[in-house]
Amino acid sequence: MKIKKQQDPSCPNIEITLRYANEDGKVKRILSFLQSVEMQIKCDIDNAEKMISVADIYYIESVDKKTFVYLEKSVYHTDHRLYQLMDDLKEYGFVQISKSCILNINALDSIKPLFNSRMEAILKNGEKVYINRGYLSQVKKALRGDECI
Amino acid sequence: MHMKKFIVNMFATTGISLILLATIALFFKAEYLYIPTLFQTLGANIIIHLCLMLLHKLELKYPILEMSLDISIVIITLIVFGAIFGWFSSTPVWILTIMSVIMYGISLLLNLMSMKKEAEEINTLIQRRNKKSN
Repeated sequence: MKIKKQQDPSCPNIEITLRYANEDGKVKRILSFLQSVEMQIKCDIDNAEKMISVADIYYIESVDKKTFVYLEKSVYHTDHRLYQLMDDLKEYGFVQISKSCILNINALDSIKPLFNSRMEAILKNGEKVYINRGYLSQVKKALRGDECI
Repeated sequence: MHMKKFIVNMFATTGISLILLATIALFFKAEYLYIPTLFQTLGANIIIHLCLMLLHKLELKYPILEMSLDISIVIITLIVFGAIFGWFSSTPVWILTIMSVIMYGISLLLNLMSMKKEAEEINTLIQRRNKKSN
């Protein structure tokens, strides 16, 4: 894959052209990632609103009916419900890993098995989250690029 | 064949054969083959699996709590069945409890073996994906 970048002060917005022979899994992943950079969700921290780029999110968790957005080093609260976010974000590489958590598949570094039908997912920032066995097939699908990308 | 699948298949066919044999014996009144305990065990297993399925749907946050509840379900169901069907006249409660713990331990190990295999598969997919991205 060749990457060309060009700085042009007269260009008001970032412009990306993707040239490919066939729209395969790799092309779809690039497109999905580019779209996730543009896609933002409204979050808040210390009563201040902030728009967070979907590509920066590691995982989203619902705790006591409140939804929290986890980034590499910070956590934000959002008014969105988890099921809404799951619907909105599945095309950007997000996959459900338990009843209360959705994970950005691009943030996944490795997984290891635990007792009692659970897996421990180790994220790129070293954080750990649980994957329930019932959702493993979705994780595999997402990694193969069948579903969410 | 995957080891877990082999062991599960072996136990499943043994269980099915015993139940079929006991059913046939029941119909033909072959008393030397008809073992009511088999049907009672089948009933206990159905209850245990239904309860475990419902419990796992709750997705409890603490694995230790979930495992404790799992094993409690197994022991309580077997004790209740034992009390109803008079199993304790021949088998003391403590033997039944130890049996339940051993059974649970074996199923946990089998489960872990299959999870290990799944984890390897997923880690390979992650590595392949990362390699493609670089």
